[in-house]
Amino acid sequence: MQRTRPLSDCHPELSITEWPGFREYRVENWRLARDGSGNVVYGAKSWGWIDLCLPVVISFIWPRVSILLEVTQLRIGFTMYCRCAQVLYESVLVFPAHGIQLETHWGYPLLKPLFVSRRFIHASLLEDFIINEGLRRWNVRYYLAAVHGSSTDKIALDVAFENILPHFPVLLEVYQGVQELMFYNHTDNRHTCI
Amino acid sequence: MKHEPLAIAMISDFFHPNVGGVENHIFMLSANLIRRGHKVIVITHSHPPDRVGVRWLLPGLKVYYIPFPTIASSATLPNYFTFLPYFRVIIAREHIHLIHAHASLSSLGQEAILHAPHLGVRTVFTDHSLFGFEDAASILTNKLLAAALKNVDAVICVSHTGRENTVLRGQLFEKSEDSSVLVVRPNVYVIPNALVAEQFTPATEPVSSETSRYFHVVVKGTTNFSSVYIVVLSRLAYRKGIDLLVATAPRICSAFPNVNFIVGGDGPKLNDLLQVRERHLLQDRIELLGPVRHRDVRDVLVRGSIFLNTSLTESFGIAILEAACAGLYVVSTRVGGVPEILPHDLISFAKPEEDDLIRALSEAVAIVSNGQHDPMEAHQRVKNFYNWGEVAERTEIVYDAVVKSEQKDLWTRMQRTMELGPFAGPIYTIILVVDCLFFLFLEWLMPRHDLDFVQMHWEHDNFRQVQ
Repeated sequence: MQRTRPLSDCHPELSITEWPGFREYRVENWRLARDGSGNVVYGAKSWGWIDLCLPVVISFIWPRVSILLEVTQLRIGFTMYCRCAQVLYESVLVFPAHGIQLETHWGYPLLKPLFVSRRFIHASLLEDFIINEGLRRWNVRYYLAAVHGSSTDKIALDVAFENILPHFPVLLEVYQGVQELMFYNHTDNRHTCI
Repeated sequence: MKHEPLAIAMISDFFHPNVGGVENHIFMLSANLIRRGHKVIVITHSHPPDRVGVRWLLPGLKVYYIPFPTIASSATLPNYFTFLPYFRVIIAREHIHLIHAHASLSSLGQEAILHAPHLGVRTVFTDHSLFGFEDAASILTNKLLAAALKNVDAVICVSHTGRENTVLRGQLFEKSEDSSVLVVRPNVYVIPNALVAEQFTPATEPVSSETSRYFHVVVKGTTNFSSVYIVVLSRLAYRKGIDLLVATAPRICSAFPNVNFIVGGDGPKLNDLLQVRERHLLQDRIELLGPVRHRDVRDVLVRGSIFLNTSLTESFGIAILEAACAGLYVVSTRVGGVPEILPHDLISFAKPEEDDLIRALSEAVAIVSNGQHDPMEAHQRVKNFYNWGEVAERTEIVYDAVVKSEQKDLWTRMQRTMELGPFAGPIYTIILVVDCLFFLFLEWLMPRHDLDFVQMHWEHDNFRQVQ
């Protein structure tokens, strides 16, 4: 089990782990600031200033409102849930000749993941693994998509790294790895280099 | 002369999947610019149900379909500020040097001319049609156009008549050095449209029609009575002079028993044509084909020997050119830019009046019946007149001049916008200032360094590898 960070200069959040039998491409939910300052921008925060303001606000309005107990419990429960359901990291696991698996891990940032969602796409259903461009709100983003057939005979796209949406250099690295493992084994000239 | 490769964005409301003259022009020009080594993208609005997002067209042309709803015939509402976020992101991430807006009715193009200087990008505008000055739609469009063209770097028109029209409508004058006289700006150019001549070749053997099977024997000097077919292919709208066609067709049919009409196209005036057919019992003399696809146009054209164009206004007349290339003799109304496109022995002109049109048509029927017009020779001549490679080369020269010229700073642009008039001036200057403020807000909200930049694009060399 060997873990490397291929883009350690600009995108150290991508790490590749070689497990026996499969390869994992993991993108963690933090990145370096892109203005070159070297600061780390965290996508999943363990605490924020809002957590300190919350008790202050509650203590201020406590004497004034009658149904406050239920509201407060709801508010605290909601905040705890939000804090524990942040995306920690997302992975693409490549099982050569078997398929690929798209995973998302949620949890509290300082602990192990609490929730996991996994989506396995069998190699026979997997048509292609592509980098697509799309409009997202006011922006244009690149995203990785697994093109696969389904039981109803329609082609569907599943987006990898759906919540973190890393930038192009990370996607290119994952794309080339998946293409090499999943598709180059079958035919030689199926895909030309970009 | 080899020019530096540029990254160009074509911006217009009118693009494929709609079919039309402007759309075809943008596509062919982009394809030829890509062949010459530039990078070209197209930005247009989306089409229902799901033509939204980023698509690729051959040969390596990226198209952005922005989700804006359309109001009438593929034109969007002028929503000056909602286009700015998309525009800024696309232009910044694709590293665009120059934008080229098409068509005066395209609000996307005019907004792009307003937004481009914030990013340091140069602007070129191409006007494809002629407009009047007196009706309400024209007055509004002309005012919007004048405001947009105040700060554009170059304007291209498709004919000399079109250039005069655009200069007058868009008020493209400047005060000369001694500020006594207004002179036309030096950056207004004329570059005509073109066509792909290989797609419009004449028939190599006589084509038999569905209604008669005459073999077209041509004997010089004697009038023969084999059928002469007049082809009309246009949108059946008022602008295209269908009323003239409705008035002249029965008179021509009664004067020349061997002349028949083939009319292709669809539109609001179809009913008038059907009615005149019924009234004069010309069902076997006037054939109505309905809408004709662009790839079937040549097959329809070669069924006839005369092409009739009755437009009341026409800035270039690409349909006339296609017909002449397919070997037909052309009869057209003398309007707009039509007299500029063909030599006068391939075309007969008429005033847009019934009697003069009949005179011109009679002349054409006589010329064709006497065998004085050779389709193959006409095709050989016309195919050398216009080609897209030359259009792209001339456009490249315009781009080169624009890129080398100096950019206007914000204060100059504000002063020039204030010159528009006592009401329009302040209004458009306020729009410009609010645009700047919105741009600054976007620079804070979505900083430039956070954009997902394009690092790989389709290389034109890949085509050569595949070949």
